[in-house]
Amino acid sequence: MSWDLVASRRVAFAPLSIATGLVLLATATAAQSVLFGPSVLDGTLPWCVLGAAAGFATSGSV
Amino acid sequence: MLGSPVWRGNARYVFCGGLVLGALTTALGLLVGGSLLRFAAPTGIWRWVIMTATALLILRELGVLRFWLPQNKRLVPEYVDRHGPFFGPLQFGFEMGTSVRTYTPSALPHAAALTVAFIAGPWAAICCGIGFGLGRSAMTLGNLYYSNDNRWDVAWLDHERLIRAYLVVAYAIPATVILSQPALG
Repeated sequence: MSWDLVASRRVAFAPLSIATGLVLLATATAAQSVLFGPSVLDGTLPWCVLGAAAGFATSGSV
Repeated sequence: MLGSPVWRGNARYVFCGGLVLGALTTALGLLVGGSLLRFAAPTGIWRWVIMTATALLILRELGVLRFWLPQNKRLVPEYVDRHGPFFGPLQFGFEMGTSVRTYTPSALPHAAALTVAFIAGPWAAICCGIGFGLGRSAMTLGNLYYSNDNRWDVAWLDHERLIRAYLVVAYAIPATVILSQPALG
């Protein structure tokens, strides 16, 4: 495995990167809700992201 | 920790599937249990209750407040491979995914549980359950792909305050979207 691949894995799967990704996902969810109003996505995406943030926050348990 | 057969090969993905199934089971259980209690007050009241509870739990998550939260401080036995290469990891993941037999170092799952119990419909509960399981799976897979020597845990501890702050933001934004939806009354 080349150094670049190792380094890129380190960045992509770092806990801070995953948490940042969740923030971006949450922001995108809110943006679509504001821009496009009530829709099927409104009843789906926020719940998924909320659950994912709560699930990832329990990471210290393993 | 990563020496267990549960973490090797495809077993890791079966484990993650178990996490999702366990979280889904808990979410649907909360939905059923919460539905029986919702009749005690109008939905608008529950919205304010959830907003208040979420604010308190977020303050706890940020270390501003300290109070006790229920958790079953037991770990699932890691060597569950006696159930085979498929059902062992699946059971391990399922039990951990339900969050009723694990340490819970964060207050956000409690906030999510209350929101599902008192606000969510069936589809929302399913989405939240799947999201929760995927969030836990992100930890598992992130840990395994990051390194072979638990350095992921070190990286978590190195940035714990910032990560917790990010996760509070990632939780608070969709919670605001959900609680501001007019259909809640």
